[in-house]
Amino acid sequence: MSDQLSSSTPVPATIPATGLVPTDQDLSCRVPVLFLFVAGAIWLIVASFFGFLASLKFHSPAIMSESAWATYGRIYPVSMNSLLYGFGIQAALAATLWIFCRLGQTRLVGGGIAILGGILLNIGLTIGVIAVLLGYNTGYQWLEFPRGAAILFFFGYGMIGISALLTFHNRLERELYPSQWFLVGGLFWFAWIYSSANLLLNVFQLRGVVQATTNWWYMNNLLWIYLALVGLAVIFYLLPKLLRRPLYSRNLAQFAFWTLIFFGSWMGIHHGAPVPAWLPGVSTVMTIFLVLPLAAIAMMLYSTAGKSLASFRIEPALKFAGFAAVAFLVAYTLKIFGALRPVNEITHFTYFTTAQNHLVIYAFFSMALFSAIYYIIPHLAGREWPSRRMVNVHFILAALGVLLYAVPLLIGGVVQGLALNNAQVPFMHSVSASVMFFRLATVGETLIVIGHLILLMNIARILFQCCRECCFPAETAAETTSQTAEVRP
Amino acid sequence: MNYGPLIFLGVFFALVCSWWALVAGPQNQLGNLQQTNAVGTADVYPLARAGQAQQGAEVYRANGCFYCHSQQVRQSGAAFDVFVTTLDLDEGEDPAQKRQAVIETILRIRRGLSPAQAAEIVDHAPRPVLESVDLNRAETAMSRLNGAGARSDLVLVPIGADIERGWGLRRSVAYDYIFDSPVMLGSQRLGPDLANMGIRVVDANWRLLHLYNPKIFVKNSTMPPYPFLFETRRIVNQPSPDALQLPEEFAPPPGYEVVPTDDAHALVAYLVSLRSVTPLFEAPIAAPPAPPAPPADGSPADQGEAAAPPNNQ
Repeated sequence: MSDQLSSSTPVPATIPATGLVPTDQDLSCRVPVLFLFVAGAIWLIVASFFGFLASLKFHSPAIMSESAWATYGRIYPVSMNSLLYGFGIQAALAATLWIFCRLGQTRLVGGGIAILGGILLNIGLTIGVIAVLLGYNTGYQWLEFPRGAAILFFFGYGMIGISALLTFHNRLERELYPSQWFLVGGLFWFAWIYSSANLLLNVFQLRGVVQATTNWWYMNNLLWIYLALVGLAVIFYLLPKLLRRPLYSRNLAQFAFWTLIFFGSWMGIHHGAPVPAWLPGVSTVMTIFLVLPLAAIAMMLYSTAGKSLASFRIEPALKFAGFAAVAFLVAYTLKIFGALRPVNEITHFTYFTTAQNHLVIYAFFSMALFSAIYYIIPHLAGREWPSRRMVNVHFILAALGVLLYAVPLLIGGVVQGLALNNAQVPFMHSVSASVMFFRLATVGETLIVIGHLILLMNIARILFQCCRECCFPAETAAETTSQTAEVRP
Repeated sequence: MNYGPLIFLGVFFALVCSWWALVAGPQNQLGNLQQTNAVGTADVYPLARAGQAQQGAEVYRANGCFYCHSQQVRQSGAAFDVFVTTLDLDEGEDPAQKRQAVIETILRIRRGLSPAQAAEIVDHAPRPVLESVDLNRAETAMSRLNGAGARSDLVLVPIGADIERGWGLRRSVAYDYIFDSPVMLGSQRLGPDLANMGIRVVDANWRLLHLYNPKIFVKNSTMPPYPFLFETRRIVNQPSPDALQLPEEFAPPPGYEVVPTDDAHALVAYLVSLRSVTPLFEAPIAAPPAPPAPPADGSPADQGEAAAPPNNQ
């Protein structure tokens, strides 16, 4: 396995000055991967913009209240959908395509289909977002897009998925690395849950409270399984690579993979829901079984990276991956505690759940994907990041922002929940008790937004330089050699 | 694990298991629920919403009200009240003697009660002997009362913070939602639960004003105002009877009036239609045995002994 890792980065012998020369595989997937990463980064800005606006509304609800499209109940779902589908799914697909090419030692198959899929997917997203702003929200959380937009989005996803699977099938290196299991699993997982939930909620509509259980099933599988599969795949690929150490234990990875998808997919139904008691019961038991993959992954991460923690300061991409790995452990530990009945009765219906979701989406998944962006794009562009400092600034802003967002909301959620569960405390006290925590969270969100702008700027700069080099090679040659003093292996 | 198809099959199997349990399972059990009978009456429950309320549900959905308001009442358990209904007199028995026996039993069941208060419970039956106790204690008390020659009745009182807040009388169950589509249970309580909004606020004008600007009633409300559901227009001949009666600081400039649109009326109709207080088999709310003496509005946390028996008839 370590052979495979080292062999997947051929060291260019001829041009040591730039250090990064796109391999044949990189060139084959360059356009679709860059397209998806850039589109993802733009959707991230859209998500941040609406998220920030939504968060401002808590401080002064009257802002822009004259416009129907800007009401909280419309911009909040737009921000979540842009984040999950615009950024999350696109960045995940980009990383999948690149890792399949790399680990399979093969060129991308069906790059044209992938680009077409990417365009379709973005059209679907745009229509969906506009529809939600106009009030055509389906009423199911995280499945707000109306049928037409969801179909376009899903077909786009499917086309990119087909290209990814063909590439996977055509691999020359037949032995599979753990990241590939997770990514193949993730590709199918999202396709199945998204199509199944949409069919049952928007086409062959289920009746009554079954709609709610199906929606919870979908949300759980998207957040805690799909994002985990992709995020872990990226971490398992990048962490050993950047630390130059082999991934600890393929067997543990196998164990974690199967236990995660078998137990984790049953979570998501909370206590006190208007459903028969066996549902939350089964769900809670399965959540407790999540200890198994969690322990396995903790052991893998510790044995892979634990002893070389000092080197987390060196590579910016490594910092992101390391942060994501720790955030994974924290988020899933909290998930297990949060599912226990006495805790769940306090934290359900509060900011605690919001904080948990954002721990997974931002602190774990997005950080892992940022790491992938900062690692992969230089390989595609054939050059280092123009400003390493700005990458570090993004890391600091993102890390601080996530902490400032999640920690106050976790505490605020408990405070709010305790107030809600004590009938002697008037309802408005439960709101005002959490306002201070929410202010801190808004500060955190501001930092995150600035971080996202810096990410987009970083990507724009490296691509601009890359294009300039392609068009005017002579002019830029001198600059490039002087800028990239450090040589990457 | 070097074969793609193996991973495919494994992942497929895992997902099918969870789909079977959490999607097909509830569908088999609850997917075909039909209207049911309320407990104790011949009423059919639930009833489909009227047209305007149904349109209001669309306004509720389109504006994402469910991101901040839940529609599910949680119940942490149930407590029981024990009532004495009558004396169980067989032929030839002496009522006075029986009454004395029951009073003594009541005094033994509930210490700290004066004999006069116990006598009042018997004489003005039905009155609660014990309030908000667990089932075990209630059943023991009942068998002792029955042994002493009184007829007694057990009343179930749902408890929980939501119910104490007045957000509902019982927990929400699957029957409450069979006519909703989409079912908007909500996942956050940044605003209060709305499962029983229809019985909590009866004043339609309050609701309209609250939608127009929540700060009219709640100073530091975080709820967004919905002015786009209203139309501010010039008064042409005489003010519309439908216009909002706004307090001065929120009123439009002179010569103008604020009139609710159809959407605002529909949304209010929907909010009025939100009520789930019918007692059901799986979510009983037992009414106190006879017309007089509903159980006092005291806190259920308090075991009942300390509170004096209600005598405010």
